[in-house]
Amino acid sequence: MISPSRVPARRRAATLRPRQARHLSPRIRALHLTRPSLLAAVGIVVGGLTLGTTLARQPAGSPSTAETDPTAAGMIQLVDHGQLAPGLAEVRLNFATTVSPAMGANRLLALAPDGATAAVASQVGPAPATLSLAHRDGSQQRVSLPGLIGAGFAPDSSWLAVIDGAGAIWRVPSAGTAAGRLADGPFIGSPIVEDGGSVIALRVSSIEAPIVSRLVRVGPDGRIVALVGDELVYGAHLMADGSIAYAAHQGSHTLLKELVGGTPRLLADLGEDAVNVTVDADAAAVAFERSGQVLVRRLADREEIPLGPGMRPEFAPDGRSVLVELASGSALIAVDGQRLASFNSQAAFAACAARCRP
Amino acid sequence: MTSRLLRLILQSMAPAALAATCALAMAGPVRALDDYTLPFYDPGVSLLYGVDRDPRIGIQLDYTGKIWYDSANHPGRVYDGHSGIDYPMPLHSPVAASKDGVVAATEGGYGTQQFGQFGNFVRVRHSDGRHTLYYHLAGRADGGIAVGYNEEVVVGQEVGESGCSGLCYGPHLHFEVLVDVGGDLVTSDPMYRRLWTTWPGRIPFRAAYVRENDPDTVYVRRGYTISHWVDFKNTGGRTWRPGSWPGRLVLGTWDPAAHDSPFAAGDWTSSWLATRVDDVTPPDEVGRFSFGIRGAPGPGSYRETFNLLSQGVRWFDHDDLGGFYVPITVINQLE
Repeated sequence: MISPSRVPARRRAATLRPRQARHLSPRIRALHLTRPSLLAAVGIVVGGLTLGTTLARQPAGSPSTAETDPTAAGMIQLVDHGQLAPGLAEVRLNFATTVSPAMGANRLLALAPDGATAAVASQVGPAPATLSLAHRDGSQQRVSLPGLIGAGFAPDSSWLAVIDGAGAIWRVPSAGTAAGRLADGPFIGSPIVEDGGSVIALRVSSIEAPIVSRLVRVGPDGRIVALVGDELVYGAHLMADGSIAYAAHQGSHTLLKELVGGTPRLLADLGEDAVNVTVDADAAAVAFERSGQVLVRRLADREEIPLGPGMRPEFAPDGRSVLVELASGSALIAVDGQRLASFNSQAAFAACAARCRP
Repeated sequence: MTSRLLRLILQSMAPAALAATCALAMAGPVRALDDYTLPFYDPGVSLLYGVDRDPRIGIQLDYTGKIWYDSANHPGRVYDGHSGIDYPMPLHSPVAASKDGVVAATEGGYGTQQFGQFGNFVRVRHSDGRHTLYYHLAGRADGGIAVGYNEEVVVGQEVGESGCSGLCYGPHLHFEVLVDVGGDLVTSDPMYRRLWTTWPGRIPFRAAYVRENDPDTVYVRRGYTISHWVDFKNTGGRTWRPGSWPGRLVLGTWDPAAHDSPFAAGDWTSSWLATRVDDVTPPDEVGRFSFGIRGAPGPGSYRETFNLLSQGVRWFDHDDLGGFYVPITVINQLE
């Protein structure tokens, strides 16, 4: 133990300096912000109020559904933009309070292949959330789930596979009636429902920090089969010819591969920091994000075309344009870089859901 | 008297603190030194959530062994299904390697605060077969990734900066220690398993000023050299070593870092590197740094500022050393 009197005055002053003070405020802010429940609570409050719903925490394994008055405030409106690109629809959230989808609140998860239903999450994450199923006719159902990660519609649009906050996959009818549990997981990603009812998803060991993410097929009976040996798969896409293209991380690079007859084949090495990779239905071009910029690369000649700032690109079914998410809203950009349209809301391709959605 | 004092102390302890103390005492002995250290430099950072060691939904087993039969969040302990340890910290706080190793994977393509299912990370493979994971980092273009794939890193080396990429609701570091089970990386709980260098865990590099042979102004004749030493207590988590790697610790000039010193004596390693720690100094021990001060400049009063540098990769927090400097007065030979 050192007596303060033994420390020279010039050093004592420095030793006693309250150095914690400069760190305190940001840390306190971080402490409050880090709690997953807090933002989720904001999302729930906003979603609950605007949707006219009172959410109750649902025990795992028992999602509940509720009908919404179509005349109530907070309706979700589907607006067709098929003249711009095949199957393009804008999903307008007519909420009194706007919470940015960028933080996972009020996020469009999927659009049915027939374009008649949109699935919107009140909040993405492990905290209790509401899945709103908004129909083109103006009706709307809500499904309460113990958290919500992702969703994908069946090819016939009659039901959708939903991943809850614990990573379990549920089979939810598009009409919002009783949901059934398909598999425990945990899974993440936007599940792809195949003809016949099997689901392609990413099986992980951790939902918050996935560094092992296996591409698997979950059969209608819940049986899980690994599709590839890659350790960290970021997303998959059903191609027009029935094969599966997927983006995998290896070391520090992102690779685009194609699974044909059970054997992976390298389509492209996208290098370092290529994320949110998507490929067109014919595997002629790939779109991805790097440092906040969206790029399209033609696989034949490797030419890269910058499309500008944006996130999570998605190819139109005809491969001629790309839908990108912006900080607020979205934009449709031709593959040559020309901006075709801008929207204040989130948008998606309906016809693409069964074939080329990640 | 003693029993009265003990009673007072026990009465003053909050029940929760007592329970935690008992739980920790029952959890087993502290592991050997120099195993792992906390993955950051700021000793003020505290844990928000630890690992849930029970895979079942609605049942949480925290690092103290307590079981929670609910799905509520328990700050300071655990939340349901959590695979790592969350340390809240402002954006762009430096993140340190917890142990020597090789970078096994990096991702830096997401924005620093880009919400999504995947985020930026660095994963380091260690010689004991374990891996450590540093997740939710800032984007590489934003300075979030400081190391490259396959690069060797030493404990305490900065591997990146904190962010909020991925499934993240506020800036924090998600840290994991993983074990290889049949080719699969499976999370483990370093707190429960006492993998920290000390218990509770310590940041890698930290020291406190103790004493000097001459704490006041040092007088040195022009052209002559005098001997000087200073003692610092190792309050960090790593053993200081004079020359061997890892753990090599040196005293160098500071403010600005590694500047050429006019007082560099013949025993200095270089114009800015005054000396190494004299002897191996484990945590909680006091290490001595002996070096000469040469009265090279003209007569006058000066001061030379020093700081500790570990592994050649990270300077200590100079405030921890009490802002250490040596006042020096150079006098003419005839005075």
